Amino acid sequence: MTGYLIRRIVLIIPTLFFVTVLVFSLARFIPGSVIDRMVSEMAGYGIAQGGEKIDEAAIRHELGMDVPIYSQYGRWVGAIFIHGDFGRSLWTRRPLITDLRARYPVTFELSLMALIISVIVALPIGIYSAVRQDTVGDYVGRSFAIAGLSIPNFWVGTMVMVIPAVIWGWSPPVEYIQLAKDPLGNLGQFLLPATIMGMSTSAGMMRMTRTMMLEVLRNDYVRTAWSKGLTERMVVLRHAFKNASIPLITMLGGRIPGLLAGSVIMEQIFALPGMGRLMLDAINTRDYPVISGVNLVMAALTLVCILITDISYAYVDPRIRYR
Amino acid sequence: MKKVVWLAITALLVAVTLAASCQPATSTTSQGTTVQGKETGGQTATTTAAKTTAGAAQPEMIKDVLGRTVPKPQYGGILTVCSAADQVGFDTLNIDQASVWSMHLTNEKLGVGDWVAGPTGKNEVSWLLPGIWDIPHETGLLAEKWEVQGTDTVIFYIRKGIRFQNKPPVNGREMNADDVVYSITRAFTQGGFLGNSYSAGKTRDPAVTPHDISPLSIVAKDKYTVVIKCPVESLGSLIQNFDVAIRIIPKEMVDQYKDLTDWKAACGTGPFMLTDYVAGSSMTFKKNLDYWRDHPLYPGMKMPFLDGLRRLIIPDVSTQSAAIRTGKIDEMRDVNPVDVESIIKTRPDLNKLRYLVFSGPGIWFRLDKDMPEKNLNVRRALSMAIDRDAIIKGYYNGEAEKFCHPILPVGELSNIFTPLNQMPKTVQDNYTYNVDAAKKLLADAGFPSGFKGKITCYQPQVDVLSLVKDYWAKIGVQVDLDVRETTVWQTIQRTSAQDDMLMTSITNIYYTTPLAYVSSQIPTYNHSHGVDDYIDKYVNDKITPNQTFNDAELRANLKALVPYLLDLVWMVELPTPYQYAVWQPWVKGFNGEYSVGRGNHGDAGMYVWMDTALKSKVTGQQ
Amino acid sequence: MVELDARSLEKALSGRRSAVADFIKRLTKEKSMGTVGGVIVLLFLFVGIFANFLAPYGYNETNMLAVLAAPSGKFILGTDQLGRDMLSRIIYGARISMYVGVGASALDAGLATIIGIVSGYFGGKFDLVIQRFVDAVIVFPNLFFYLSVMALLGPGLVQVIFCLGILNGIGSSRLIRSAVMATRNNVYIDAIRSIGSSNPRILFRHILPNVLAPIIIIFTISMGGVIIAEASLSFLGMGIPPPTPSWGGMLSGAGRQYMMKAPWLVIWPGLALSLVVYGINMFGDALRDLLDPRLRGGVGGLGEYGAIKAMKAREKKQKAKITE
Repeated sequence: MTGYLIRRIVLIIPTLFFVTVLVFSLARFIPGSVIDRMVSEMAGYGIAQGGEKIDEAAIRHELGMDVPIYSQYGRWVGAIFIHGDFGRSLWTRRPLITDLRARYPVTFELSLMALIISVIVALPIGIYSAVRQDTVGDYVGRSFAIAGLSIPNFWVGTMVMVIPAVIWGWSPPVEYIQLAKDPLGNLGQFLLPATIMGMSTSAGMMRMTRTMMLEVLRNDYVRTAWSKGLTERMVVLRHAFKNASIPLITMLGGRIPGLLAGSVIMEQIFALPGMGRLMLDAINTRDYPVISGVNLVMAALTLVCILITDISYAYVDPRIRYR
Repeated sequence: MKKVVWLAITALLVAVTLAASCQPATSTTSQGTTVQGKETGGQTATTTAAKTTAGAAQPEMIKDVLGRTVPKPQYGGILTVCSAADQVGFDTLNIDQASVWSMHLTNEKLGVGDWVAGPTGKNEVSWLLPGIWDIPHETGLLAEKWEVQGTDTVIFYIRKGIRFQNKPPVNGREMNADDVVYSITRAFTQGGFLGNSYSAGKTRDPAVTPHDISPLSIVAKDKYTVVIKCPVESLGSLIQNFDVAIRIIPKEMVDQYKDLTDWKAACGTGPFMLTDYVAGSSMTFKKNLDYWRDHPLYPGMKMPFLDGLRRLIIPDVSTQSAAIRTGKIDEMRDVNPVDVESIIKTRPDLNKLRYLVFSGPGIWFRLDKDMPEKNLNVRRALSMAIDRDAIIKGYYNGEAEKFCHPILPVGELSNIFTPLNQMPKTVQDNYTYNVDAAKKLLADAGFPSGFKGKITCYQPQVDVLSLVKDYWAKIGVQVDLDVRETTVWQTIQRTSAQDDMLMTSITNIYYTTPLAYVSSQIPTYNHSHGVDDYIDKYVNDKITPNQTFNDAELRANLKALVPYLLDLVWMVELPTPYQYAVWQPWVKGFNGEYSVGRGNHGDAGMYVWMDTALKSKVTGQQ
Repeated sequence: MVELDARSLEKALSGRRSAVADFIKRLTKEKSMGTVGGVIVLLFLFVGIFANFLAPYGYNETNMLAVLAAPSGKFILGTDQLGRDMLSRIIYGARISMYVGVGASALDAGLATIIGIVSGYFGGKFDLVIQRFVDAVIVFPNLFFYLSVMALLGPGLVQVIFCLGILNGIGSSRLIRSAVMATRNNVYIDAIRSIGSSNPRILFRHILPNVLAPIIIIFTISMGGVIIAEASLSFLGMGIPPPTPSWGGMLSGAGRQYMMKAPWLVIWPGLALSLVVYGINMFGDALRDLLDPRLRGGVGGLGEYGAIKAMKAREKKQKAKITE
């Protein structure tokens, strides 16, 4: 077990290396100049008169773009891992770490709630579909889960925002309620977007559950359980599901990138200040340090989550634990 | 049994959270809300609607500064406004003076626009255009008055007794000439990320600004007088820039926080104090109880009336419209006419104001390349082939104007603007839909069967360009739409580096724009790379010299130049759409003003008052 | 994991016609939802391929006299804000979605196969390095990755297909890799190699048939997700730009803007999108059930479990009869 653990953790390092290379290249090569964008913004207020000469050399120096690309990469990685310095936003000049710290809880809370909701929806449907394969119940349950996948979630979000306002004069809260200040209000605000997100991911999880259950139900120990005279519920839940749930835990870990990404749309519609919106705004305004920083943080966190689920899988699965 | 307990607990949790997420609905059918929605055009006089609440006591009336009898403003209430994007940082050095919106409420400049001259008062100006420096309607703010001596000196007389906000380490001390000197010096010498916006020092482009216009000296002659010496050529633009654009900040804050990027460093002499900032979500201001100014319209009443102000960041337009329907925000700007239609249907008691988009769209060319559009007749044909009236009626549902270049037909520019029917016939013909004449012009130019081309654009423009594409197809001109991503398009647009044609708008609100884009010396707005000797000479003789002091002559000369410019058809104009500002009926003393003076957008919050009783009645919330 | 042995597959492939017919028979008999899904997919492909002949108007024919017209005899599904016929745009939209769906899924499955086979079969250090790269790609929240890559490539149909296909393909390679590794570890592969079979031959004749099922599964599952992903990208401004009539673009753009005034701008693209994605998913699920022999219904459904259940049910009935 310890051997497995050590190996697993060591393998993270090359993966992280690739992650940093990917993140860095993605941001550096995006076309369109941040300077032009800034001048356009200024012109929008009629303030810029067209007589500005942008000191390109100075800006390139400030952005650190006047050294060869491998030096830029080295500096960036060094700053993050040695100093914990994620740089500053090109636009607001605030240290990125401030924004990251403020925005991360929103996305995390949203994703966590979505995960819980999708598990609550997917597990029962998946188990039931497996046990009653190809019956009407199976079809209804699966249809429900797949419908959640087929309707684009930005569409459901828009409907939920606009229709009640028009018909009943009610709308979900449009301002972020902080958890510390008003926990109940915060949960209420997040419930709607988390449900919408959860519905889209529940289909995948339902499928996974169903597949695992179907596989497990054919095993010998199931027959043993039957022959012991146990009721169907005992056989299914206590024995079959317990064994099926082990790989499901790893599946949960694999769901997390999808959830974190899906939050972008919900944050946009429900006006929540999360990492997704930070990323989207950064891409639109070509805020390279922010693009890189957010990407790196999200990827690293997902890596950690997957590591945790892998380790818990190793712990729970006796075949690995007692090696 | 355990399972039942679990189910019950879950159900209870769900019910509780659902209940918590519900807020009371707005009741739009409650009796008494008979304040009619009123539409105020930019130029027409407005009348304040009388409140006819059944059974309620008649509001107290007073006489305002213009002698009219109006309801007495009440103190209290918190105004909630919204925007789609967050403010770009808190330090003007990093972007420009206008973009740091919070400073419009927390800090003040030497001069400001006169609220009384606007739609809520005399209605001489619209206060909708943040880029125009309206000299006749400027009043002193932190400076009581200023005077020009000779050709190189400006003197500002600073008002006495104005205090900074009571925030450590400034602690409400008095503002004086040293602060003015400090603020102006900082803005001019400490270039930020983009240098600075004043074409001074090292960021100056010698081709555009041949002389360095940095002030030669800024001195505080005594505690309340500032004397500024600057080069002769730059006096005019400097006056525009530093006296009305630079906000006065206290040195102690910059010393303590190193710069102003932290929102906690926000401190000034203004009517509101910044008390909270949640990045990407909201900004909270609260009233500065020691604010020095009396309201210019209501004699003897101190500003501001509101207890506080909040600005929410709501990125999605549908969410914004839901928020204004349900009373969660008090004002919405730049609203599409289609959205306005449906919002007003739900809430007929909302007020609205219609105004033209500040930058009108058009198609520009590459006159420096050997392309078919280089020929004037080709460009005239392209212009005549577009049925602008049909586009306005069909696509814009009547909410657009077809002639807004190069001067926008709004009040502040009315003495430069000439209506289309007073223009020479050649210009009028260009705006008249005439397929046969267009075909003939094309044939005369040597393209009887048309030609192929490409228009570089970005996503929001595609709809209108699809219409143009179909119209031009009828005369044989086939164009492809080269749709680029927004930032990439902005890069192309800023350098006018399009391959063939470019669709873009130019900011019409800054009235020397025709000067900017016709002169081959300033390529920023001259997207077609057009060169014309007569124009260059005209600009040098009649426009540039008058920029500083002869505003009247400058305007007259611009007006005379416009027909010549339009005859050159350096750009084919497309209809300029209208937009709306929508606000709640409980926001009083307000008629849609946007920027009281130059670069002050969003500052109306300090002048308006709120009828909190009406708000509770309509929304059931405070 | 799928395990077919070469012999049964060869038997199946030799009687090729009967295998397909057998498949269709089993589909329609056992999986009615899957059949419905399959019909939807066929319809979708048909409309996409023959769009030219089916659409009454061009998809970009503007008409200023019939802007935002409600459904009528002349414009069966109404018109949009430029007077373009919605029916034609929906039909051509099927073609665009087909390009995106089929193109990106093919790229996905293809890339996954290449990476999975190379990495799984040759193993060793090579596999170790490649898998670290694959892990690095997988940990990215996928929409973030799409946004960054689309910003790099710019908007366009080809760019969307490329972006979605490549990124999904790298992630899907793990499935293929595990199938390859399972097969490779089979004893008979060693046996074949010991008699001198070359690597390409082994790959082709023995490994590939065993990964055929996962490849098909990846292809079908990916298709639905890719079409929705394109709609999400359009909503965020990074998708296929107008005037190309993609359903996602119509739904997130003009649809949302005019939805109060002209709901048909939203209903038709939304319905088409949801229905097609739904059909693809149902069909894909049924396909997977049928291809994986361990998930097959078999005798009485659910193998051991089903048999025992059936037996118990019979016992109960008998008991009830006795006590009557």
